[in-house]
Amino acid sequence: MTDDRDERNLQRAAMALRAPGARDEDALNDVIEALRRETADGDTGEPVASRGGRVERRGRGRRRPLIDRGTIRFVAGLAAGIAFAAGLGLGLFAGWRMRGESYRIAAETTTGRVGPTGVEATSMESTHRPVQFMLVAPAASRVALVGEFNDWDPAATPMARAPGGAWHVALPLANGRHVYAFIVDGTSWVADPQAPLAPEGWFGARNSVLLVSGQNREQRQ
Amino acid sequence: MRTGSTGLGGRSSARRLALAAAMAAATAAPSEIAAQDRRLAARLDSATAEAVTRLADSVRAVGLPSDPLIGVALEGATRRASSERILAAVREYAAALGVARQTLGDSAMSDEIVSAAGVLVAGVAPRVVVDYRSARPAGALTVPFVVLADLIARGIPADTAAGALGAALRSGASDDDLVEFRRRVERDIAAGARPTTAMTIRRRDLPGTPMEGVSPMRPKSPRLRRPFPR
Amino acid sequence: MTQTGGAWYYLPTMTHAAVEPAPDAGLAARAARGDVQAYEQLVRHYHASCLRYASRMLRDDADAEDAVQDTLMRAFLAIARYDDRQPFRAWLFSILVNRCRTLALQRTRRSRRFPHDELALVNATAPELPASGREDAVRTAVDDLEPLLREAFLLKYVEGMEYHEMASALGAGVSALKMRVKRACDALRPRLREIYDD
Repeated sequence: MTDDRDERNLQRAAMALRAPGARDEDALNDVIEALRRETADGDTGEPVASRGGRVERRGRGRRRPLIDRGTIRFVAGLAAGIAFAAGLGLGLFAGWRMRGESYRIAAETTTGRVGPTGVEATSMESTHRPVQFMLVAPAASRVALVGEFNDWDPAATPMARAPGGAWHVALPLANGRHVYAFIVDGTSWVADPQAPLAPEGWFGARNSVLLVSGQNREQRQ
Repeated sequence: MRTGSTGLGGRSSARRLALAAAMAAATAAPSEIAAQDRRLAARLDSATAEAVTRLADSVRAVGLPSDPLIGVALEGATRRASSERILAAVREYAAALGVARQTLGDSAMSDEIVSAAGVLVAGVAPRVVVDYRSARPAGALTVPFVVLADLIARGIPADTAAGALGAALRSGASDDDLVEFRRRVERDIAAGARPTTAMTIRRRDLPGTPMEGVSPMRPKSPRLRRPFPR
Repeated sequence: MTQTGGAWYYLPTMTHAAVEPAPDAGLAARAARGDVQAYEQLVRHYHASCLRYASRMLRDDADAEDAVQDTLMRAFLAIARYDDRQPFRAWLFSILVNRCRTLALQRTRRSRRFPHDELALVNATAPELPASGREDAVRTAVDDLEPLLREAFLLKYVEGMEYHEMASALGAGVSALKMRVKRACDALRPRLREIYDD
């Protein structure tokens, strides 16, 4: 069958592409040397900033700038244990406390408690966690939640009104950064008063930002 | 043994973007293009939908997140913005994403890139992104940029806000610290304080001195015994 | 590779970079705490596969070496952010993929090795056995693939990654990647037939 032959050819080609190159070991040694040099005790040679562009790159132990000309280098003074979880925001905009205007709390379905700072994630399983949105607007006749997560479609996520004028809806959201707003009575674009504002103001009134955290290696307190 | 061959040229960013667009156009599968078109085509006129799709493809071709660009276009559609305004927004955002990734470095996460792009769009200099990266080389910068963007949106001048947060970061301020700081500033402003005043007062709660040029203590470095050369 | 009765079989475990999340995660965790030896082990483990990927994407050995060295150093700086729910190789390759993409767009035109170039002459006399004509032809065929297709092909066939791993490394969805791999194979098929026509 020609299909078998073609598949075999692909595998043979893949095998050929895995063949080691003659300089591989030297290249590996260069990297190991560079790593050891950069992490050794004592001053490790001339500051990278004073180098020009690339230097001679043939042969063993070639010295080269850590990062090329034209790219931004990062300073490597590694900071104290900032765990990976910290980067995902820990879901904590403290603006989500109750204040009588609007607030956001974790929906009851999350496994974990509702802390004073709102959403936190102790559930490790799913990639999407339910987030409750709320806006107090007693005079409104309808409120919709819009955001990146629903393609900014005003019809996608209508909110329900609780007695007292608190409109609410819960939505499963993936970890990460989300931008959203409320549309009141089909006409007013309203940001969440207690969430951070999104910086972009291309279309007028600003949106709100929500960070949903992925994990909770460090319990906040 | 591997043989070498000529690399790709490209000196100006316009040419880079054109090259990326050409790459994307040549390699994007028909179904990928069609899928984007559908969401945009339903809400935008075809010329705008096509232009946004091309921009999103070229951004994706260089490994940047393209969903935020589509999101901006859809938001503009919902808000009944003009095509010109939508396109201008998407272009500006695309450029900001590129600068954000360049200043943050190749290991930057999607959320970091997007939140950094946000502050760039808000008028913060790219230098600030570089400084924040230096101040916190191993931790994600998503939260600092979200906080910075919020302060600027509430009326604090970009330089002032960026400088204050930068100093705090260099002194080891954590995401929690920054979140709490933002909350207090926002509450003060809501209670009637002037934004810059609120920030100056609450800044005292953060580590590090508010003055520029004062070298704060280096954050603890348990990992390396020596820092990398600058 | 094994050869049985004239047929060649693909055994991903024989590649340089097998995937085993457990040991890598341990090494990465130690590296994040400052254990440079642990990171070195990761470097030794993944260097070859990074290098062969970069060589095909940048189509230049020297640029590839630089790209890989940069990537491994950047990964070390960023190791605190590695989450071991993702295979280490996918995380590392996501940095490498971006580095190659950035370099491919940024770098100025590099000249081919003109005969007058002394370095080229030096290299020409280095004891590097030329690969068989077939290997060169295969490399050329793969180099001719469009970049996005080439990326997907290399990760799937040469590195033996699963699609979900490739999705993290390349920042694209699984179905899009399957399409790209298919298109790459379609493009390669006639060329490989010529090359391997026995």
